[in-house]
Amino acid sequence: MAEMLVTPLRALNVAQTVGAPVAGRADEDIGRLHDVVARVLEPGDELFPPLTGLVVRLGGRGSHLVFVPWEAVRELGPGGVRLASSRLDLRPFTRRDGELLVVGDVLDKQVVDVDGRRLVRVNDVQLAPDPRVPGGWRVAAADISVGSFLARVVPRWLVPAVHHRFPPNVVISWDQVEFFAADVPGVKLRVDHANLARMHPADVADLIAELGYRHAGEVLAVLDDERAADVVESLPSEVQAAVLTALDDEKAGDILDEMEKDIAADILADLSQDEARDLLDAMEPAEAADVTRLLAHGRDTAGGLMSTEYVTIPANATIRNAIKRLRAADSVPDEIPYLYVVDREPDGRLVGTVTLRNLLISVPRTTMAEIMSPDLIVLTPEMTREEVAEEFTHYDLVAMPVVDADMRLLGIVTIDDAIDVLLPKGWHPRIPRVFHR
Amino acid sequence: MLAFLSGLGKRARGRGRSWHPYLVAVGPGIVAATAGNDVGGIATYSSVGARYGYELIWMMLLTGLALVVVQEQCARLGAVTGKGLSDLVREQFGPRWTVIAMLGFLVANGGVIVTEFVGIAAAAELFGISRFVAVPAMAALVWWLIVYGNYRRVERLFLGLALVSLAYPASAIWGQPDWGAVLAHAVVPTVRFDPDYVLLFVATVGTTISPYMQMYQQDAVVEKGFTVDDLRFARVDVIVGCAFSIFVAICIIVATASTIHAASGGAGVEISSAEQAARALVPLVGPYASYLFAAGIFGASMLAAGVLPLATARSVCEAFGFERGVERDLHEAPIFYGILSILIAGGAIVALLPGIPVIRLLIVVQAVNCLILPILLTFIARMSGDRRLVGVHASGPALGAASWVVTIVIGGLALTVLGSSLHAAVTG
Repeated sequence: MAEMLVTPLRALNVAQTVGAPVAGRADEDIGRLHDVVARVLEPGDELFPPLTGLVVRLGGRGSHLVFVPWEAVRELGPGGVRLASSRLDLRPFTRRDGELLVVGDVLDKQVVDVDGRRLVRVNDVQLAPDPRVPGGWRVAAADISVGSFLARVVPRWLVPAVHHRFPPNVVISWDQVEFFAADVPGVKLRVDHANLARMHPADVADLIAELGYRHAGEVLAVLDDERAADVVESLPSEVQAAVLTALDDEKAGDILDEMEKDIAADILADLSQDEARDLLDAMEPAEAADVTRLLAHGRDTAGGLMSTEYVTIPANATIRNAIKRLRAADSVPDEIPYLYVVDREPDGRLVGTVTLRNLLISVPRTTMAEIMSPDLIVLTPEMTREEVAEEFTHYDLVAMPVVDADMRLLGIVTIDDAIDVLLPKGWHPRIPRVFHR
Repeated sequence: MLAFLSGLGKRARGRGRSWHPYLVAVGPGIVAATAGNDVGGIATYSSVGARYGYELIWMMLLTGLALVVVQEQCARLGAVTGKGLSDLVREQFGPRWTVIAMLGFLVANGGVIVTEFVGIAAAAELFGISRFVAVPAMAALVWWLIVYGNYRRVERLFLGLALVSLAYPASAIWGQPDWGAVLAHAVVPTVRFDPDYVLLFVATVGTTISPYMQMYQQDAVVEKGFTVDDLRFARVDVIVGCAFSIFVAICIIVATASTIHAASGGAGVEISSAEQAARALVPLVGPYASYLFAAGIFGASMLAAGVLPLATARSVCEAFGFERGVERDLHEAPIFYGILSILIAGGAIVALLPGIPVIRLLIVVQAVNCLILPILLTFIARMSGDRRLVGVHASGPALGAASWVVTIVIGGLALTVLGSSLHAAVTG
């Protein structure tokens, strides 16, 4: 777990320091501390972002926010800020790319505790002196303890008592924190979510589903297409479409290319025709064609459930040929329950199936026709999900072909696509939240 | 006021998701608004009809408009930010206001949960079962279903039972009300100044626009994956839901007015038992009225007795950052399960306290809702008008003004009832 008991030397809690007085060189009152600015721009910054300055609310007339660069800060402590100079750049503060506002962007927000694989809310942020840069400070940890929350609720004079009773000791080292830039429109931050990229896609899906479509979109935008596709497949069906529309069409198209086509078709069916067309245009033509074909079928029919990822082999091909073809193919499906044997190519009829087992144990010269099982159990595209499930339980198969009236292969349904019906509803692998459906 | 209503949908973008999946699934706005007609709603509307006849119909129409204004803001906040209500309150207003808002939720929703168990007790007794058997048994069942079972599977059963409230429109017509009087009172306001009137008035507002409806509306919009592109649908959904809910509420008032109030010879009676309230359904089903009524409030109460504790615990944990959700186990999310269990057990225990005046309690809880409402509405109005938060979807001048008018009027009502009950406490 990322939680640890630490009391870093001279660590500073941002929430307890914000609002503290800011004094000039001659101790004159300048204003109050409004925010702390850290840099998230260059590689490595995101681990422990270095502080670049403070945002100070000027007191007196013309109360507005100004930026004070770190070089002009002599002392930063719980009691307040002392500046090295009394001269300030009085232009109003505007944020630039790569600038993270610790209070504005992180405090009170939800972040991912990577080690704990859970969402937490930031009750305070700890800053610590940079061990390598004298005088430099960095964002060190997110404080999620109850004590830090309570300390911000009670009046200031009660804070010591609160800290005594509820020590603020649950902190997550910042390199284990994933925060989100989705709430910071118009400002570029280097947030590559490298930690999330290392997590299991199903865990990532669990986390971002709870954070809403904007955060989910942000994460997917930085993951590679294949991983992003895995994450989208694991999201609850209600938010899949929402998340894809939050991305730009090109990225959404790339992700759809990598997804299982039956799920991709379900998502596109949830969108308006215009949106669906935009995304199909953004996909690879071949993948888009597969999805379009699936879209023609009802979602809860064999045609809607089926996948177009399967391998066909002509009946006269030898095992040697078959294996050679598999090796040479552009893309081989993740799972190959059976090879489907057709009487001719292209556009042939389905005449039998060959298991990988038979392929392995037979002599390389044997033809498909010799080792195939000619007893075909097939589905038709209009069969309902329940009928499909019944066929699966009855025949005890892991995949079944879907064919048209002429026995031409349209796709295959695998057992995991039909399993939703087989399981009692309460066992559905993705348990949705309170108000679904 | 109708001008801004027609402007509601205008800002929605042209592109939107195809509607048919939602039409099948029923949008969050419709569910949220229908949830307003729970046992507390039925008791309040029945009391209004029995005591004052058609007199308060005009205010139901205004309350309906206010409801649209409030729910639309929540739907918009949810769709634009992708965040739930308590999540946004915490991020926008910080820890102190969050504590106040969450205490408000806990008190308001806790009160409503009590009324749901009161409803279960009343339904059981109409069927001749002791409340001391029915309430603990149902509380245990609800808890078990949430923690170990799957509440959603039985939800539909309760939802089906709750649809009995649809018997009211039919009963309202069968009862042959004085349509002229109904119409007249819909247009011409009647105002009285006795404390009972004020309490019922405020309770009606509190049950029609309950805090949990805002919470539900926004959270459900987020969870169903509505985005900015779906704003137009979300708004239509809110308007349809509110219109339907107000229609049913008015029918309850008309049905009780034309039966119970009319039977009193125009003097008006205070409803004191569920049996009495059930008489509004006599024109429709005669002697079976109390059974139909009992089935209806049982369904509505069981539905809310499960959904409310779950939603409240989730919302509170979200604001404070505790782990939450029935996907987690007891060990991972102790606070979530703690709040959930206390709400259910507490609600059942309070509902069983001997000697509580049932209908009176139901009405007082709704009035408490109305007291808490102004705080939440202030948060909502500020956020929905905040360009930094919702950008171009921030409330324009008309919607912004409407949201503040609603907030201030309800705040005024809350102060009135507070003053009125303080006055009653001091003098009486």
